[in-house]
Amino acid sequence: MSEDRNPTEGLTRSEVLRRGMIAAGALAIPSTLLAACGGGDSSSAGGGDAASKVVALPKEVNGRLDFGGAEIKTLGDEFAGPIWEWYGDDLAKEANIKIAKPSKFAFGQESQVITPKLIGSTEPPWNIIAHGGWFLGDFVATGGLEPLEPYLKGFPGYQEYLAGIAPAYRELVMKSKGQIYALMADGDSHGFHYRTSIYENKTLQRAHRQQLGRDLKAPETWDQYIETAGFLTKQLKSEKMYGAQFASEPAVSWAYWMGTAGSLGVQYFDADMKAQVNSDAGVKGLELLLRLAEHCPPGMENMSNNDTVSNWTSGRVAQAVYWMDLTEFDSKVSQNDSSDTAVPGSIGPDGKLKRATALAFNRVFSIPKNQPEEVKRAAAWAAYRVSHPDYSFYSVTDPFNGLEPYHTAHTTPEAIEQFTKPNPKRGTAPDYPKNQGIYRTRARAENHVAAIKEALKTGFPQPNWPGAGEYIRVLGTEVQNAIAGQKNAKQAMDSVAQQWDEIVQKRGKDQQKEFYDSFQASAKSIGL
Amino acid sequence: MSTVEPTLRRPFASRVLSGRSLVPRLLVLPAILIVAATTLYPAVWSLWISLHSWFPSQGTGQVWVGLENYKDVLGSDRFWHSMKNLLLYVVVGVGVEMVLGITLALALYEFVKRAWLRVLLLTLFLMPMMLAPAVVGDIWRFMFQRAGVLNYFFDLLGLPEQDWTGAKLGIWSVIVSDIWQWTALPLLVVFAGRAAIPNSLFEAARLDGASWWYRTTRITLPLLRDLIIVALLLRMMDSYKIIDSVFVITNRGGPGTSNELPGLMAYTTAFVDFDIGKAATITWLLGTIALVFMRLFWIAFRRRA
Repeated sequence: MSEDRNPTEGLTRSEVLRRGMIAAGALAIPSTLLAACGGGDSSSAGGGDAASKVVALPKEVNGRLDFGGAEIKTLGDEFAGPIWEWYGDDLAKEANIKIAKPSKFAFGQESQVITPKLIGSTEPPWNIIAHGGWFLGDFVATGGLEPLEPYLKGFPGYQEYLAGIAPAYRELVMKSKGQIYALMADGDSHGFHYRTSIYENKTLQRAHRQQLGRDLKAPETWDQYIETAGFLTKQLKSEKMYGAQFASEPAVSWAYWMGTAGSLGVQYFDADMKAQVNSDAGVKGLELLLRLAEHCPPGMENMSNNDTVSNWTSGRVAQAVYWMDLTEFDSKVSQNDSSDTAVPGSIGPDGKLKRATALAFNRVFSIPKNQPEEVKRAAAWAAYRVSHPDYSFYSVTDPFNGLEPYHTAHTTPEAIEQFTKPNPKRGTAPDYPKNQGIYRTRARAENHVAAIKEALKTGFPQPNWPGAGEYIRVLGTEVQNAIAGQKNAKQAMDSVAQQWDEIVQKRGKDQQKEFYDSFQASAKSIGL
Repeated sequence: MSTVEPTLRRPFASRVLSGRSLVPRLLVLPAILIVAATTLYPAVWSLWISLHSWFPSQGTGQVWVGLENYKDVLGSDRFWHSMKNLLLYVVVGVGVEMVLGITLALALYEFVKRAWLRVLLLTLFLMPMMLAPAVVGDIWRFMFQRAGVLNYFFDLLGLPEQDWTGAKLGIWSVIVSDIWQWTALPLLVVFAGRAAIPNSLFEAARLDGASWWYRTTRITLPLLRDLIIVALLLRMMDSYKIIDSVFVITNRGGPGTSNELPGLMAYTTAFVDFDIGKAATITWLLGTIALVFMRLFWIAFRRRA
């Protein structure tokens, strides 16, 4: 695997493609036939039976695919990292695609920036958009996204690619109502992070055992986490260090509630599409966060995602539930004093521990529908390649782009090794001044990958049906209202439920139910 | 031999235009058409939209819902909380701006006699007004943030850190930034008005033994009354539609919705949720409330005058 990925071997790429072509022969042949029948090398992916169609690849010229120098304009949020800058040259070499300078938008502003450009018949200014996975339903509802299965079926190795993607992401992030509209860019899941030096401190260990009657180690339950957070905040007061933290800004606060309420068994809706977020589990989930907030750094009511990262990298916080890349930020400031493990859970009525790892945000690549066929085809190829382990293997192991593993190829022994090595597909620049592995030791990389694997077993998926952006904004806002002391947990979650019910009504109960039922069926089918 | 004078008929357009009553109407017609197209039509259209449910992001059309949106908005705690914030913002913010602006203008006119110094001070006072509200928001956000300069001075004084943009103080922080930026407007208007009052009035009053206070309250302020009302109305009209600085300083009206103002609520509803019908409803309610409020204010002021 690693040999094939050597960027210095330009011809290897072509060989890989050819091998993939053969492997996907059963589908490649119909696609070629289709292209021949059409008298050209492309066919429309639109229409109601899009999934049954296949868009053929262009012909090879001098042993490489030739998309005719198509210029692809990309859009992504400010934290998505410079992957297009890194891989633009490789894409040009392997398929004659030119990647334009990427456009960026502020984190969490998908609906304002992207939605207006997807409505109507005008051509959007971007050919590939990278966005939070929860917006997929919203964007699909505009009718402005291209179904991607017809393209994938024409791409070599697509079956292996799809089979390798973690089921939670494949079924609940890439698809809307059973159809693929997006390709994974970033497998975002929460994890529990802690300072190794704090956990290994003998004095703290002893005091923790004396006061709380158990060892100082990663907590099993949220209650234990809150207790240990309180203990550490008190013990480390003189060092101005805190036992816990999370962000309260609405753009992310909802994800923390997913973790606490999910472990208590909350459901988004019942069978009649009545919001269930204000059930006992939903309210208790928020109460856990409110209790945790008491042991967090000052300014919790306005704590932003950026604040939590800088708190962590500056060593102000000893423990945190956050996305898996939190400890990666450490490597940029050369700390490497952190470890990852599974998030805390709750003890259910059956006496068993139930964890719910928030699978939240999850950047994906989508292709806007209103653009010329040949551009869509080139864009789909570029998105596929960058999402494919051939490239993403290096993206998810690089500390300078915040992208996380989502494919089995990202958690192999080779991948663990790569977490300790420089990214051979890029140099350095002011935005990414170093090129080094995320971790210094293989053991640390193993710990990180093991935590990711564990997280995916207990994933709690984010809403992904039309209106998800609105549901999530309401939830995030009310979570922050509660943290700011404007409402108690019950009032906040009642308000969320009331607003969710209104959203269901105004968006059409039948449509919402259809999408939600599909979401639930997908979740059930993969054991979540 | 008789001669026949040729009768010259004036062109039709000339005859029509020569009609006394028609000409002025035709002259203002382009302006009326432009205003109708750019202001009246969108206003009426938005009123029509407010009676519909419309989510363009879903690719669906407009569905007639009658007064449902008005019922929803008027029954929403969030709307009334934002109106409460707006009331605080207008009464305190605009109130302080007016008092400060008038005081500074009169002080500048009465006590600063050197022309160059007057110009310099006036320019300095006007500078914040020349900045974009979003920039002002950013400047104050940096000062208000937890690790900002305000908390630095609080720390020096041994006072506890404050969450200046939190639920309790956020709206007050926005008011402070607004006062900093917009006090210059009443200052400018009043200063110009004061400069236009003939000095002979004050000379006569002085000869009659009127004190400075008496001259100010009995001559200056009554003569400046209409200008003060204009400045006040301008600031009130500006205030009720504020979005930018509150968006920047409080991170979109947060924490939660604690510092939200109705204009920001309308923006979020329209451009984040794409609930255009409800957003139009909020703007109509806000506009109507503001108009009624200003009309009542105007009537009360005229009666008193």
